[in-house]
Amino acid sequence: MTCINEQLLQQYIDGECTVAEAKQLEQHLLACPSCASKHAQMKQLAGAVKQAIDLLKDDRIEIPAFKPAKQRPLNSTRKLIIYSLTAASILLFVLFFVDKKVQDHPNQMVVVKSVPAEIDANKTASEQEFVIEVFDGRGNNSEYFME
Amino acid sequence: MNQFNQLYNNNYRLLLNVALKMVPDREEASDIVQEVFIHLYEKLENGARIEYPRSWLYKVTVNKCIDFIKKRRPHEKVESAVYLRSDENGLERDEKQAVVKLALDKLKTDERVLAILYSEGLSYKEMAEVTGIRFSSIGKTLSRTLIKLGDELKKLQYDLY
Repeated sequence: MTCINEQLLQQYIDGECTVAEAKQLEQHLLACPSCASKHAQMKQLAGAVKQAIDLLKDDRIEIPAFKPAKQRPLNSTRKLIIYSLTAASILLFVLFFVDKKVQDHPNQMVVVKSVPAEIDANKTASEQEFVIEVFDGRGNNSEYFME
Repeated sequence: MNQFNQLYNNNYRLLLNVALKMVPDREEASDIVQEVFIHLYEKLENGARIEYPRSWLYKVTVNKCIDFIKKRRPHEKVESAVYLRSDENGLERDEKQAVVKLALDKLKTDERVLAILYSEGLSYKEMAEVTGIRFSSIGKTLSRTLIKLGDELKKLQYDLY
């Protein structure tokens, strides 16, 4: 028998050879130190890699009771979507409903007092000219000039 | 739904371990496994027939994990890299876990899946069904993958032997 390729060696290590293949291979391993050494290395590597990956597993998993879709708790993605939609709804409510309600209030007035850019430095604050603008809830604007 | 209960109880731990090996976050891994079983429950409830339920469960779990990994934001990889450190006494268990995750991340997706399924003791036939790799190529791909993963672990100062 010619030397064994890695594929067949791997199959042998994993018990995936036929009985006939395994028998032939074992005979060759007894006669060929090179293949026997390769086999030992591959077997050691396979065991070590399995052991390394198994560090990520949890041996103390408890099986939770299964809950069909309607009863199961929300996963993080669903939670994120629901929270985002709730926040967006509240924002829309504030923007469209609360703001509109304030504008529609007929008794509400907004008073703006403005001082002209050029202030007469020779006059006291009470003698300065200024404008009072009044906005009512219907959007009407009145200006009062004070001296 | 006796069939479902049997599949659930026999496979829950196995699937969660596969998900834990593929996905860094435990909560996400649990969510993925729950989604897989809900999918199975709905299929069986609708009278669908699944020829190889165990392989089907592994396949759906692996695909969901791959979808999750693709959506994962890049900073999560950086976080795991920052976590990696070594000292004179070698790596602690949690550091070893971080190293193994990093080494697995270096593999191509199908290689990573193959290595994880191999660690779970699946047969070549099952691995072929889950990964879509031809049955006749499993041995060859597996031996290459193990060498590659071993090299990556050594590069990250993981003491294999």
